[in-house]
Amino acid sequence: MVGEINWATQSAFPILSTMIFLPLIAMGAAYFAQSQQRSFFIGLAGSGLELALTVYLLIAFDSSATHLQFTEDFALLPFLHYHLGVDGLSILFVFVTSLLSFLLMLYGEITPERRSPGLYVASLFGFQAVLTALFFTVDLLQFWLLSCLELVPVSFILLRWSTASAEAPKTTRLYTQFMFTGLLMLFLGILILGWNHARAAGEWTFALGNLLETPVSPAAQSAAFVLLFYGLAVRMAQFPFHAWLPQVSQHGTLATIGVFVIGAKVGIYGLLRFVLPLLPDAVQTLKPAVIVLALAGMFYGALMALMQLNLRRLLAFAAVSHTGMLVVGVFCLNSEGFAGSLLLSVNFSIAASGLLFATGLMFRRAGSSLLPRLGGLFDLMPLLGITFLVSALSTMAMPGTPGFDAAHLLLEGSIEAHDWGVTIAVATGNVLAAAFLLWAFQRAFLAQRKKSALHRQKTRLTVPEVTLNGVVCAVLLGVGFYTEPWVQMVNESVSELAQRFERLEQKKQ
Amino acid sequence: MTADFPILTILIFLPLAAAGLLFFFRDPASSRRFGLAVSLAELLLSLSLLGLFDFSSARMQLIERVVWIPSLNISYVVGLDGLSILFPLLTALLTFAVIAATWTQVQTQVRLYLALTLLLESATLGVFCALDLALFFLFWELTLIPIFFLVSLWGIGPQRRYAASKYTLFMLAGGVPLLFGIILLALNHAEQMGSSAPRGLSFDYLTLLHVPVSEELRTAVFLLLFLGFAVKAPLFPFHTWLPTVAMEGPAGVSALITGLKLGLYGMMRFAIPLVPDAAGEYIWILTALGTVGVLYGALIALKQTNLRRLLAYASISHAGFVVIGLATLNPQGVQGALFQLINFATVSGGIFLLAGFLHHRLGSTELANLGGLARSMPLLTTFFFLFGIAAMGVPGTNGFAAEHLIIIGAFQAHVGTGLAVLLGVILGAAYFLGFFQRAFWGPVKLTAVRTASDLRPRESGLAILLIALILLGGLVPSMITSTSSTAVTAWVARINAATGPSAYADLSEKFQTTRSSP
Repeated sequence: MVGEINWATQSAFPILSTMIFLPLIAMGAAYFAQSQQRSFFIGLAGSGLELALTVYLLIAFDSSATHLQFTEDFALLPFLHYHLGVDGLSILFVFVTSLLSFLLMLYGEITPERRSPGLYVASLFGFQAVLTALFFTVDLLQFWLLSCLELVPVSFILLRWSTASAEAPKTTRLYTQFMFTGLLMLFLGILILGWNHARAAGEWTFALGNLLETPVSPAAQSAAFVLLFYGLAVRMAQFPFHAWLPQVSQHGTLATIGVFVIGAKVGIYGLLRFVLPLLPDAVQTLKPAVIVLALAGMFYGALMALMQLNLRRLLAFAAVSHTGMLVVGVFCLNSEGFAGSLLLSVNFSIAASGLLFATGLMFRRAGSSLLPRLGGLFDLMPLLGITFLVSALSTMAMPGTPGFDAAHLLLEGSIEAHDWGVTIAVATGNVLAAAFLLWAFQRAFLAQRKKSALHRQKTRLTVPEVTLNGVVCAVLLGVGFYTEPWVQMVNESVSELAQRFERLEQKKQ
Repeated sequence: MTADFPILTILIFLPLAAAGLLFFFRDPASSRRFGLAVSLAELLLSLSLLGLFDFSSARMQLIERVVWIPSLNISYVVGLDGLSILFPLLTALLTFAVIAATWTQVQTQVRLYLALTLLLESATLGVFCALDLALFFLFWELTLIPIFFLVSLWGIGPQRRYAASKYTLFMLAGGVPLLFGIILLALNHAEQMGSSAPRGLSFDYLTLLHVPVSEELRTAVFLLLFLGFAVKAPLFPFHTWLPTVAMEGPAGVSALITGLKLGLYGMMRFAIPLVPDAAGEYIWILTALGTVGVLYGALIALKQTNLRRLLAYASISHAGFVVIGLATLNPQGVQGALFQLINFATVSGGIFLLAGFLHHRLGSTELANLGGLARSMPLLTTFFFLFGIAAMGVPGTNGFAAEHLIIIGAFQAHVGTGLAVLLGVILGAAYFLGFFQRAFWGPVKLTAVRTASDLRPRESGLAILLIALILLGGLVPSMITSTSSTAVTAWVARINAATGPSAYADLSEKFQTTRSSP
């Protein structure tokens, strides 16, 4: 069913594996780096090289094909394949992961531990390798194993580099508990699908292509859908499975974990890649329930965000609210909705990272992320203010940012698929997002500062920090005014997925 | 008609580029001079548009078209017709006036202030020129950012940050129905063309004008667009942001947002012509809200003790006049409405700038702190009176010519509306003269007033320039009406063709001969 184009026809070397193993090599190099400076250099070089490879991938990528491209298939065990591929659904996620890793290296979060400066950079590389592999994999079991592996860098970073070190074990425990439950559900769902295939075909496999060929009975579909959705919902912090995120955001690291955990939309990707094509009947039957959850999450997140005094918690609830919007887009089940969700999740990833970076830099200087204690920062650090504002504007889908085209595609999809109530609710939720972000911006940057002003010297941004802010703004505005290639890239894959549901609809009638 | 030379693009993006260049200026004085020079260049550039424009044609002219996002069929299209040709000029004029008027009022972060004002100019020009609905929406929302900062950072009231948020949230909320309306139009195009979205989407205004909107969508589209524009106009009952912004915001912003009524322009340009049949059916909503707005604004203005708040309510009342004029759907009413929209730039903009001068001198525009201003500030008093009579619509000013046309149109459409408009005009005289008497005449009570200095030559010159334009418009109204008469006739014909046999056919013929001498 799923056509594949082998890597050999498109590039000179197996680029996807290269992109997975390059960070692993860099991880080793960083681990043995002796000084802060050298590890920083390795970080920049490694992630820069990876970004260059991603750009090469984007150029070599054929946006007119619906097939999986650059595929590599290699059997590890009879039922477990090392199977990679990329198409319009995943290419943007890969780009975002590389970009965010590069920005994180620039951001170079201050490590309290001086003895092993390379360790932090190394764990970031490890994290990056896992995420990149997650977005390439087209084998469900491999996807699940990688999801499990993702726990390692997250827990490690949380334990070692949380800003509230007293809270670190508790935060890590909360995170792992949530993820374990989610992973268990995911595993059960995958087992159902594998078992169904084994019963029909006589052999166990979890490759997407093979599973797609086996019809699944409606009852099994519903069960598998609930399990898989539960598993992915935990990862993407979909209400009501989100409770770990505010805690991790408030007590964890300043930006690192937030950028990777919120920025890499593994959940949305999992829905589009596996759940929707594999379980189309269940998706259609259970759509109303999911929409209700998503809308509830949107409003719950927005209202909670409005009430937060701590910027870090506020951003966590903002992410919860946005996840709801993305899920509504995915469950439009038409190409506008899919394209809108994909582009919007890329937009949210970069914009949310911009906000997290700005918050992190602010925290480093003002020593707090409590909004009442901030204020007047725009005079002191205008560039930081602009980054925050541009990111905030693109989260509220202002025209001129990537959010706008994405949001209006999403709304178009929603008008076609759902009734008016849903569409109006999505738009209203977006205005609420504007409210909490504008309010936060005013309090942090424009309000009169109550305590004595920060020292000028202390507020000056370093060269990597200026570059970081510049890149975030440039990417957001650049993509915002030049959306065309990005839309092109997802179009074909998305309409292929949408046709699946159209056919289903026709069959019913 | 396509332009060979991209004059509109240059017009739109010159202030934006200049705003970027401002970052290289170190001291406030030279950045002020640079800002003024740029706004003057814009003024000359927009004047040159009049030379390039063919006033005898009702078609869109000076069109520039560049493909922008082909897979969504979004293009960069700009152009002007008789309805919009004067607005770039007015935008440039008012921006120039604002920069000149706030020469000494703004002392902190001068560069940023000027950059934001120029950015606002760019976005506003874009709104008037954009002929692609997505591009229009981009400029439309882009106006919010400079206003948000201008009000937050240079507002003159203690609640300025609240005012900035309130304004932005109102506008964002208003943007939602607008966006929905635009999306529905684009989807309708796809449906009518028989192709699937996103291939069949179209945001091109000139294309959409020729695509009939399906029966079930047209009402929704009209109401959504109308709602979006009504918030910006502002039209009763969506007006509550304007008094707040007028009280808390800087004088320049108040002058710009009341002088250039983007919301009313949007109704005339997009909401009514794109779905003429639905507009014809629901035009009574405009009439009703306009009438209520005229009277409500005027009555509330009567009670105000603060000049800026009074002017805000007066502006709401005046927006009502324009909406009534548009809703008449006859040539006189629509011409009057357009005329009045053009007047706002000189009258409303000017009077808010004067209020700014007053606030700059006395630190307040509250009646308790005024009284007997005529003694110490004879020049300001004279100018204020002249702007005031133009707002009231006294013969000899451009306000008279416009209101006269609206009243004729309103009486033709409905006697009740006509009477309401008349009452509004009378109330307008009442609140203005009442305040004028209490603030400017009578004994001087405060030393601050006694020692206040009158207008400087720079400020007087600015007021004289605007008043000269007011008188010119009043004495030779055909100068204004002749720029738009062809376009207005075509506009009215288009709406009436869609809503059935024109009820005003015979009158519009008569109007052809009398329109230049109201």
